Amino acid sequence: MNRRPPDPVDPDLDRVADELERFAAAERGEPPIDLASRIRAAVDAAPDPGAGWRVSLAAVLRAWRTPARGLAMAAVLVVAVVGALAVGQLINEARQPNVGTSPSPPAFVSPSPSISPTPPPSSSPSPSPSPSPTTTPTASPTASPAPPAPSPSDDDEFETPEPSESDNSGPGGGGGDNSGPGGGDD
Amino acid sequence: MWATAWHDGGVDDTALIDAVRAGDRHAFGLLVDQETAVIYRACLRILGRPHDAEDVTQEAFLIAFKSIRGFRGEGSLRGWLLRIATRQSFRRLSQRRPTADLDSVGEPFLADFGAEPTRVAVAAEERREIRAAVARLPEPYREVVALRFFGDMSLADVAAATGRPLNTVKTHLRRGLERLRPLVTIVEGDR
Repeated sequence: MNRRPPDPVDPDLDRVADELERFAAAERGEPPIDLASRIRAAVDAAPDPGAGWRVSLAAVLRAWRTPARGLAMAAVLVVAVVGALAVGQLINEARQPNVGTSPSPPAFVSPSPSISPTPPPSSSPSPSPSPSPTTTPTASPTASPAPPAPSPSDDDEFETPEPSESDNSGPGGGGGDNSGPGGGDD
Repeated sequence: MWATAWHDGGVDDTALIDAVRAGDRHAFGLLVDQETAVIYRACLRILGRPHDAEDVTQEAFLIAFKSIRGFRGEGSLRGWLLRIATRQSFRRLSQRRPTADLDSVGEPFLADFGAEPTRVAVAAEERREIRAAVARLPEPYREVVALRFFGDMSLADVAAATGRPLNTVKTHLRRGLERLRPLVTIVEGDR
């Protein structure tokens, strides 16, 4: 706030500047005669500045040429690869629950009818299995060798419809079911 | 062609600068020949030890050669080199362990002061104080003070080299000198 205006003729500052000038004048050492040639030699040995990252990479690789260094570099590379794999796996695992939710709906739908039906529609799943056993006995008397055939066919018929039935009947009976889980989810 | 490219202010030939920027080692060699003494002197003033000054001078040229494409042509090549050299010198100074600075008691001073060891020691101590005080300055004051007094640059050249307005450089110099004010007391107390 209360800044001092610039004072170009501050005698103290002039004295400081004079001291620095005196110091600089006293320190006027000359470089050794061969310094410039040494520097030129060092510059000649330096890689071409225009070559960019490729030359730098080559220089790094050249530095790693001895066997021990090569082994160390290989170990570093292995560790880097393993680390990358581990990170990838962790990421996959982290994504797994999210991915699992998409298939879970069918799995979740199937329990939901079984749970929600338990009180009222418990009877609806029980009738659906009960007809299938009833059909098998009825089919078996008609053709005794048939049992193996009908049972798979029944199983097939039973299994294929079951999802559709459970989906359809579930939803059908599950009109109430849907309202149930909906309320349950809420 | 490049023989006329040099003058007291350093390299000022566009063709030579372009050649240096293009990585022409011969052109850079000419730059080394011309500027080594100036760069070395600036390093010596900051570091106080000839051996360190030689090392840092070489480092500065190598850094300049590797990053020559970073030189945008604002200001002179000498100013650019001096900026690199002073920065490297202060870095080297900060890494140095505190020891008795016997190297800085150079032969010229022994000659100047004859056989009076007390005066030689006092002068060496003064120089050490000045060096340390400048090194302790915060940036950008330190850079401006170093370029102005250790690099023998004019304020206009410092402004061009640092890309700052001249008035800003003047302000930085004044604030730097204000911070160095205690030096006068110390140095005059020693006399």
